[in-house]
Amino acid sequence: MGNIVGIDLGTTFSSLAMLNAIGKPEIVPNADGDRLTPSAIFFDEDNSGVIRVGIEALNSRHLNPSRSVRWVKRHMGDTDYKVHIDGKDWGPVELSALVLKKLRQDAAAQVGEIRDAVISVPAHFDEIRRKATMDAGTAVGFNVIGIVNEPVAAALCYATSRDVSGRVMVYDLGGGTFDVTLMDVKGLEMEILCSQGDHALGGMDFDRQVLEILQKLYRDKFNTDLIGSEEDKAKYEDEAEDIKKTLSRRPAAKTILYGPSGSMRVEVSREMFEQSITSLVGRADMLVEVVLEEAGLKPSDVDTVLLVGGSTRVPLVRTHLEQIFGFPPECSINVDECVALGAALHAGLTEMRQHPDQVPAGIYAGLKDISLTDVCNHSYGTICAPVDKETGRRVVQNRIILKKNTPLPCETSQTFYTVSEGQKRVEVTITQGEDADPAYVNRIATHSLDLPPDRPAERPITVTYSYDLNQRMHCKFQDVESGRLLELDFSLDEQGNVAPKVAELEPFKVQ
Amino acid sequence: MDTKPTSLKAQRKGVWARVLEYVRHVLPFGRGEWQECLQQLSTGRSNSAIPADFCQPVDLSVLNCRARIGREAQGESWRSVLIVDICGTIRAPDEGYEVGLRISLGDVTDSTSEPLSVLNRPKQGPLNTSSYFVFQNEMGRLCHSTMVLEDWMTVAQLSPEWFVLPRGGHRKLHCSVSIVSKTTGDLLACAGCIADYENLEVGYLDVEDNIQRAKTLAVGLAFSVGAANGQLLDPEVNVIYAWVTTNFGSASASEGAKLELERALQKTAAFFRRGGHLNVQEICREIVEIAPLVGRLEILDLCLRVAAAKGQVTIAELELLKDLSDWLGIDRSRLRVMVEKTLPVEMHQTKDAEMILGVTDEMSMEEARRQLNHEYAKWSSRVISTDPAIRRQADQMINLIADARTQYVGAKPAR
Repeated sequence: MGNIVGIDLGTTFSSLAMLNAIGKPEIVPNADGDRLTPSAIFFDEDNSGVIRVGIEALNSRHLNPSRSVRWVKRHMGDTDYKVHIDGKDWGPVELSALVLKKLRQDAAAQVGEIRDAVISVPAHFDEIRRKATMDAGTAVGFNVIGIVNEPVAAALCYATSRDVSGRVMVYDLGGGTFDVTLMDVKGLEMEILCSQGDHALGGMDFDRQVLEILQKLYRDKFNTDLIGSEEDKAKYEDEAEDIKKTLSRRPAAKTILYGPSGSMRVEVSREMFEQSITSLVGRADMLVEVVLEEAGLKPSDVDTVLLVGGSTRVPLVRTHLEQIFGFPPECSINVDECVALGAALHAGLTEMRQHPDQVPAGIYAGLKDISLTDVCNHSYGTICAPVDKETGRRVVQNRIILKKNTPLPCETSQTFYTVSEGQKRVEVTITQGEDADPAYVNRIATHSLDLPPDRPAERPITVTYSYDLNQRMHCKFQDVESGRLLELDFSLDEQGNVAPKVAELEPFKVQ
Repeated sequence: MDTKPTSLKAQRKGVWARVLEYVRHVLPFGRGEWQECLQQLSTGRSNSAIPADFCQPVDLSVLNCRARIGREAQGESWRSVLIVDICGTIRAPDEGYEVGLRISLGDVTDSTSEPLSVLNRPKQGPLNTSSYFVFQNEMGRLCHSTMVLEDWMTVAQLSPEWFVLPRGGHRKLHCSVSIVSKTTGDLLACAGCIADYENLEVGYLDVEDNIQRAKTLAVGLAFSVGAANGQLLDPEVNVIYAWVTTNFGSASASEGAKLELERALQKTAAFFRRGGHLNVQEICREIVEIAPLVGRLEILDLCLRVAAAKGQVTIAELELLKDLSDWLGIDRSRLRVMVEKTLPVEMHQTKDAEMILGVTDEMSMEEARRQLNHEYAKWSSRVISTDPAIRRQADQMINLIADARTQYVGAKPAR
């Protein structure tokens, strides 16, 4: 058995951690010696077979933005997102695979062969995005043994390295995504209560606000736009990120803007920045409140707030949390690294569950006392046509069978009834989503269950969904009277149709 | 509104003419007969007295029947039933012949030569206009080949729960009684009579009339929405025209009828383009009287689609839609759900917090906070939709919600 690793595949930065001989996770630095690798990709202009990933890609971005890609995670699962470079269309899976390839080859150079890995994803990622993340790992030769929610990974890291207990809220505000998770922690026993996420809230949105401030200041002085090209945009996006980081440490940040009408010296105060991100932080507050409402809790019921993700360094974020909870949030470990560290722990736990005999004794001893109860990340349902009480008409509706935040493993059943006399079959659709309106939920699969002939209407059909610890869903549709059964299984490790193969990325040299 | 039988649609050709008539006269609206009937019925119960012709002598050499209104206990109250009696002679080929009773009804109020059908009332689901009401029962064996019933004998009590009459109010029902052979089905004896009946319900033709009337009125509302911002555009007229074509069954109509429909539509559009307007509140009042919720929802849906037709909804249109929703008795939360689907936020010329987010000025800060949190939870689960249009809408909604939070709740969260 090779090394067991956990990977934080982030919007702006990624990192890889490995379990050491006694089951403690450690970050494996990249080839440049950095513990975090920018999730930036640059397709070399001079050598089309070479792709630069990391800090070099970030630095090359200003020179040719059209050959550079960042923030891929925001587009994960989006089949319409494509980057066209040198005659090839690169989708989010392939682009993410390039980042993972860089992490894998840099780590392998130091610690030897790596095969089994757990990759972290935001808690709100749906099956399509989870599957896309898994496919990206598989495409570069990882045996992706599991996918872990980022806040769960972070909590695992906290719980195993710090004395945390009671009701804990993990506040994970990263570069591009935001998750809030509530959990009960008792020593090394962790029970997730509920998770909620915002796919488009993170540090990059704060950066955009800083960029708008810079543009406004320039426009106010010269009455022209600061940004006239993609190169300018790339340059000032990075400048904005630097200013944001400075403002987390100091009350003001200074820079010089070199625009088309001349240069100007500007000072951005923390107050200006905080004013500009008010609605974004308000959005984060809402998510906190929604999670508390979903769990039926008040802020005073929470004992600890754990910070995860680089964007939690923004002082306004911490101030708001202190106002909500009445105590300062906890940030005693590195907020940028705890997800990767926790993912490595999760990988160890997964190995122990799936192949206990193959786990080295030291790692086994280090992890054996950890207990984690995760929850279903989304609601799963089916399409039915009940009679609306008010209108007396049948309405097509999504009925949730397996509710979000149900502790895993879980199984639940509901009975439905056939609609018409002599109905020959039932069309069964498995959905993912929280809405009753079918237009707003994703259809995972649609199949047909044949029924016996010549029966009256209103015959019962039992629908049973179960979800196991390995994130496999089993769906059973049974005609009660005849016993006819339709069974369907869904798991993330099934080969997807659009997943890139290892061989496809082989010709590209990642540096 | 799409549950009505096709055959009935066909009976109502030229309905569009009523649209014109309605527009020309604007108001007041003519009331359907059924409304008067209902008013009459609301003042009195059904007739249970024995009619005068019941005292006439009967010819016992043939079969006779009579039908009268009686009462039957129903829990702690009573309900009216139609009691059918027979007397006279029944002749069979042999003695010990097994016979059955069959009773059918026809509504002869308006014409004895062309009675209107009395339909079976289905236990569930929509009414089937080709399923006519027939009561059947076994009568046992005849003691003799010729059997004479010298006195009236009750053979059936027909519950109004078993049949549906074409119209409400005072009706004359023709009751046909047949005695048939159980083995061969041969008719052995038959008789007919007329009974007076007070139908407390709305008849199936009344319902059909109401549907047609509501649809006619709906067209007026739809044009009003289209013209709400001062100009009625072709895309808006096209939506109305498509709806009329579908709902007035004109696809199967003759070329002449189609032409007439098109002319009527053009004239109506011209009326609104000239600045004409209707008393929409009054139209809604009438619709509420005659149309069930499902019909009213369809009318509102038409109005929303008209508002969406040009890709942008104006303040005037939104205000009118809110009024229509109120006047049609459709609550705002239902309207908001419909707006979400038909008028996505990017179509809104101005962002009406009530229509888009459900937040009103009357709400306290805490109520506004809860409402916005509810909307946020709803839309943040939709951002992972596989439909790009829904994802885009969800993104826009979340940004609006975040801005509204700053406005209604303030920048700082409440502990």
